[in-house]
Amino acid sequence: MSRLRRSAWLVVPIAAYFAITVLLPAANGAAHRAEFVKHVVLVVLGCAAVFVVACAIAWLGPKGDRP
Amino acid sequence: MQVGAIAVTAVVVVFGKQFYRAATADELQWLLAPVAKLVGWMTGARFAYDAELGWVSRDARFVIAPVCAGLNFALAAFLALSLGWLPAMRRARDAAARLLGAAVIAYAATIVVDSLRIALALETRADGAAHEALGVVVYLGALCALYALVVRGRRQHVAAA
Repeated sequence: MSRLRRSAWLVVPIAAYFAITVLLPAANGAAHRAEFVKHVVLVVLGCAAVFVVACAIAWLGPKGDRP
Repeated sequence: MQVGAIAVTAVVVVFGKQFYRAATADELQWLLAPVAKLVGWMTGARFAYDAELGWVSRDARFVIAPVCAGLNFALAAFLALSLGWLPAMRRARDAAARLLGAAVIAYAATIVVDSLRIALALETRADGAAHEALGVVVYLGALCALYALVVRGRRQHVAAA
C-alpha cells in the first residue's frame, strides 16, 4: 500500500490538466457539444492510463518512502 | 499569503482560457513562432508564417494553427506548479518569486512539449481521435514528469540539505 501511496502526488498534475481541459470548457458551455463529450472520454482515459502506468512503476520499484 | 497566490493563479488561468478561445495567430506568435522553429528543426519541415492560418509547411502539407499553440498545457503546467509550490509561499516575496518561476518554467516547457507533440503528429500523420489521443498522452505525461522534476525534485533536494 505504501508503494501505491507514492503515486498520490499525481493527483495535482492530473487535476490541473483535467481542470483546464474539461472543467473550465464545461463551465463555459461546451458540455452540450457532441465533440466535447468525445474529448472528455479521451482525457479521462488518458488520465487513467497515466495513473495506472505510474502506479505500476511505483509497485515494481524498490520499496521505501521515496523512489 | 497562500490565499493571494491561489487567487492570482486562478485569475491567470481563467483569463488565459478566455484569451485562448478567440486568440488569432498574431496574438499567439509568442508561442507559435518558437514552436514552428523547433518543429522545423526536429523534422526538417520548412514553415512559413500565414497571418490567417498560422505556420504552414507546404512541402509537409501541415499547419501549426492557433489551436495547436499549447496554451492549455501552459496553463495546466502553471496551475500544477503553483499548487505544488503553495507550501513554500508563506511570504509575499516568496509567493511572487514562485509564481514568476512557475510562469517561466511553464512557458519553456510548453515550447518543448508542444514541439514534440506536433513533430510526432507530423511524423505519424495521426488525425482525428488518434491526433487528440496523442496530444492527451504527450501533454499529460509531460505534465506529470515536469511536476515530478520541478516540485518533488526540489522537495527532495530541500529535505536532503
